[in-house]
Amino acid sequence: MRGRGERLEEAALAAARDAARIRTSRIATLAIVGGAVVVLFVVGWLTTPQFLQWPNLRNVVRSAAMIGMIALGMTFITLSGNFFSLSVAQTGAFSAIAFAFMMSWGWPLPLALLAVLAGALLVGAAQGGLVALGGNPIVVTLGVGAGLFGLGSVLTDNKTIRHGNTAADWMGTGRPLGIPTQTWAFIILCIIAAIVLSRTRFGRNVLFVGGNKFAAASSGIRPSRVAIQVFAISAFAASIAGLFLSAQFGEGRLDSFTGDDINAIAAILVGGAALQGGEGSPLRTALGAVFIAALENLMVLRQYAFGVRKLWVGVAILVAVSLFNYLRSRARTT
Amino acid sequence: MRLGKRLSVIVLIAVLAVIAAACGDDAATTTAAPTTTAAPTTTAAEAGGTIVAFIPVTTNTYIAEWARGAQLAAAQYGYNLIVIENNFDQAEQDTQVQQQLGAGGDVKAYVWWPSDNAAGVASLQALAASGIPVIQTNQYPFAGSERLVVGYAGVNDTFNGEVAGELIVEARDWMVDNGIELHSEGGNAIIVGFVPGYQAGIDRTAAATAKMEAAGITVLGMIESGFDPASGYAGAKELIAAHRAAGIDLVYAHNSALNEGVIQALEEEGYVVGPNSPTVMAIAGTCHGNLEYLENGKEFATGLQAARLEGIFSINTLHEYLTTGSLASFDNFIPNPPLHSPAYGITAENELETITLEGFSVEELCSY
Repeated sequence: MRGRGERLEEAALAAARDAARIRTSRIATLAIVGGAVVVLFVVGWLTTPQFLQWPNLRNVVRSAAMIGMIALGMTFITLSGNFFSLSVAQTGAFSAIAFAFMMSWGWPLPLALLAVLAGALLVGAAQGGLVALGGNPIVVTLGVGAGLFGLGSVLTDNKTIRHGNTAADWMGTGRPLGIPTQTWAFIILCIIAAIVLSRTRFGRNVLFVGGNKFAAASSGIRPSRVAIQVFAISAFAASIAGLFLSAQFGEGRLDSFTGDDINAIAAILVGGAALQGGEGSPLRTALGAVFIAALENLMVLRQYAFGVRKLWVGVAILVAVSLFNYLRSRARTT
Repeated sequence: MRLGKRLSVIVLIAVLAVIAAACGDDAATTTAAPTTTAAPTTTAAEAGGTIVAFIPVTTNTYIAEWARGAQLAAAQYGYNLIVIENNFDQAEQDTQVQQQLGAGGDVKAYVWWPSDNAAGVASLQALAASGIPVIQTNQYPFAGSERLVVGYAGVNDTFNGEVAGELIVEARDWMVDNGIELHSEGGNAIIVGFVPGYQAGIDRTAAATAKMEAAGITVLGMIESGFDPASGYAGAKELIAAHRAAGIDLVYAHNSALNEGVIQALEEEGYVVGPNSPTVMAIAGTCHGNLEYLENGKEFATGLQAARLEGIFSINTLHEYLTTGSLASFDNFIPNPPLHSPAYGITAENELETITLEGFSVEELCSY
């Protein structure tokens, strides 16, 4: 019969092996996503002269930025084990409309920004609350998205709301150091999200709940609170994208961001986040968004037809999801 | 805790039910299916009888404006117009047709705007078989289905594309007359269009391209992006990157909303747009939204093929059939007068201020 010390030592070794496996898997996933981006850029450089030119690279990151901001927020939902939000497109569009209304009423810019962001936080938290009550995240967000769309339709009478207020122009069209404000916002959000997730108790709670909800609850973490927080973050990020859009074109439209919820999910999946939660990172999501934007851009430069472009984006998602699932299952079994 | 959750859900459902009941319109009557997205308004007047219009969803600003125009005309003639919307879904529209036919009622005529022109022929056939006159709008009848409708009233996207093509040629000629050097003998153009597979976009591109090529303009490339400024911006950015080296002289966007984003993208990429020594000219197919760029000359010209006008025109044409028993012509296309920017002095008068159609100004017809 083995002694207690021996058993503890074995358990410690097993835990260390598990931690090493998970670390290796995470590094491998990041390497794959980063490597895919590098390979794509090399292929682009070799085949298409315009691809690596600075104006085009700026386009790639700029087009990744709007989807990327939405995806970064949604990453928290996925990491917490609540899958996705299907209301982010409507949240973005509704925020743009609300902002356009407020600016047309002559509200000061800071007040309008704060009001829209606070509203988005509330809407997100409410969705998180419904999920915490036992609602299915997909169904809840689908319902809230439909509600926001309907409300937006009633409030705007299905018209474009133009605010004609130039106070927000810089926010939408400014180019500090030659880089669009949207791209700066994307980079800053990515850094903040990475720090929050890896360096704060809240971030660890999100990963813990996503990894094992029941174990997290046994440790005193409240999954319901985490659900409310992550949905609020996601709505907040979608709202930021909406504000940038409204500031850029001086208007709010109900049909803005159509399909962007799916694009954000694609960025998260290509970034290698685990659907069941607990595994993923904002940096990988950001790389996923850049990969998809670069792939689309390269195919436009090469004058591929729309259908062909969509086909290849679909293939990229399928390959990424399959590969990451394989890596994770290998990490669990070896 | 469980009881608390259940109570929360019950309270939530009760609140939603009260809100839904409060939002209902007692005056609105519709024979539409429960799947119907909305039946916006019904005119009070019943003298002319009921017209049922099957159209895509009015959360699209163009279609909403069409519906407003149709309601205006229906009210004028004393018709009760019931609008049944589908979410750009032919299967949903097919169900709505079946339910409308099953419910019956005293319907004087149908307006048919299919979500999918080809796939919707079976439903159109069912409507025609009821013996009630059907008029088609917005999408020209699918080949072979013309016999199912009494006529077509609405836009002609080929005509729209032709007008746009002529405006692009005018813009090119203005550049030549003003000593602006082109990147090829006839000038180079790019096209930023509506979403992929959208018939209106396909027709516009084909017609405009034919006009451009006939005038020696080289079409470098096109992208199908969407309907709004954000789509125009994104599409133009990509096209500019692809064709900057060849040199871009002209940009054609399918509507002015797209063009708004196109112009932003061009300016960000260092092009000069507008009447003062431009390096590129931007032309749109249909006015939509902001007239500012047309007024200041960043948009050289566009067409006045307005949504509200199409709605009015559809009901006007139907009224002609219902009162006379026939139509003077099967094809009833709405006019598409060009709108030139006053900044270039192409026309003696400022078309933005002088043109009116059906009593509406350019501002009223274009800003929605």
